[in-house]
Amino acid sequence: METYKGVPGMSSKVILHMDMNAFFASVEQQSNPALRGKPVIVCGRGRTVVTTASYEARRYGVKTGMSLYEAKKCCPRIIPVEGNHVKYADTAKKIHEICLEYTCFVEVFSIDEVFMDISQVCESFDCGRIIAKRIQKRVKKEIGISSSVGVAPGKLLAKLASGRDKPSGLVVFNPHDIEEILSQTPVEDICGIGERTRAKLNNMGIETLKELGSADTQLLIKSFGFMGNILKKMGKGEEPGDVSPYCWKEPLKSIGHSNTFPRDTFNIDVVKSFLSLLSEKVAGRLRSCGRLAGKLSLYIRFSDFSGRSRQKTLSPAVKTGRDIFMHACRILKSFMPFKKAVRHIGVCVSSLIPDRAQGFLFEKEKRKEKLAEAMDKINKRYGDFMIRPLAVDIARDFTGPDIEIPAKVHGFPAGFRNAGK
Amino acid sequence: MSRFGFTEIDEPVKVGAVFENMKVRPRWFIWRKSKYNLKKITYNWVDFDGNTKILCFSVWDGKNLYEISFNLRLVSWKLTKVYLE
Repeated sequence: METYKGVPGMSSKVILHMDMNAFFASVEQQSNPALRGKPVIVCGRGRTVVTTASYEARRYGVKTGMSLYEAKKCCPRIIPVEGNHVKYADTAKKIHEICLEYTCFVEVFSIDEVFMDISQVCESFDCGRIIAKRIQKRVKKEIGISSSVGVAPGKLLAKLASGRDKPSGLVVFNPHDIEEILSQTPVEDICGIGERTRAKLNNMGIETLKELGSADTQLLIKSFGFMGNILKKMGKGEEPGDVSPYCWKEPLKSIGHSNTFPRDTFNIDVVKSFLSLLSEKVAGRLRSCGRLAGKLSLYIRFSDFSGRSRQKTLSPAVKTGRDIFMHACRILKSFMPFKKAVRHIGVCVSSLIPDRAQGFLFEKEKRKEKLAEAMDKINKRYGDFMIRPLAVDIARDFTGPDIEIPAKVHGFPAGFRNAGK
Repeated sequence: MSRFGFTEIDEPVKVGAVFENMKVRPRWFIWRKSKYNLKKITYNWVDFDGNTKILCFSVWDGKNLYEISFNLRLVSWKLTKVYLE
């Protein structure tokens, strides 16, 4: 096993990061030969946004998150395809099966990204390159999906490497090259460092990963709290944690739902009713995977396509639709009054923790939980939203046939009508 | 109703398929009294309806692309979509 004699603390492992290129669009192009080589976008129904754009579409400037209208302006020939998450998840599993033939340490980072620890089958990084190439070719030949692959001594660096040559590239960061790479890489290139953190670091005179790794720890902690320590390690290319053994469940980092209104509106009751619906959907999924949410984000997009978002820490963590809705309404209040009509709204919960089903000391909380569980049972048996807050009916009336909500109402506690006011 | 090139059909069809080596390969199907001989299975995946496994196929007859599915509990086939170029 090659050992790295350079930067102290640098792992001698051989880690792969594999990132499927324009994954959803690639699956659709593989599924339908008529779409191959054409500018394709995967999106939802109705007034929708781009989930993924094929590389052919990206050449015209089409990006994830764009509205269909914006995408068509960039590329009038664009072909929209309705997304099919089941198909993509099944394809991802097939790719994982190929990866698992080489190692059991296959960590699913997202539906289209995996980390692999091939240290036990590799004697050197040259060997790592050969294995990476082999896997890349097999996924292309057997599944029809191309990927970008990075090989490096750690997860962070492997992900950085895979992003260096897209699409379909294979980049190896040898341990001996790491120091130079760190000195040339801007901080924002690292996964986990967003715009705000980048700006703050730049203001401190830190622009590259090497500068971040050399920065004063106390200063970083003072500016970023406990994250300061993690940022310093990132600057050194160090990765907290090894590649986990394979577990097929899409790693749950967050749960979110959003909706584009059939027409823009200033009507706060309509906005709140959609918020209620989305909160219930998020809550249902939270409960089905046994989680509580510690953070909530609300995102609004206006008629001119500008947007606002805000995040809130939830203490204690929550799992019912009513609680999510109430917290979301508080954030919504901070966006008001609306200067422009609202077009789209999204609710996302993160900082998910296991629900130990304990600690509800108060009778009121126990009742809420029992009610939520009863709702889940009925909705699971008879269909989504068979039991729902009355506010959701406002959304249905505003939307007409575009939203699938069952027509029957089986009643709901009256108190819910006042939630969020 | 046509969405993005696909027309949703959702009708039962009669399918001739080969079951071999733990794989299912549809070869032809009959829909509205016309027989469609399949030249290629372009893609396949597994869906679920509750606990029921549904095998899904994108198939091509040389002219058009179809999506057909096999419900393992009901042991029946359905034509779900047609893509007309």
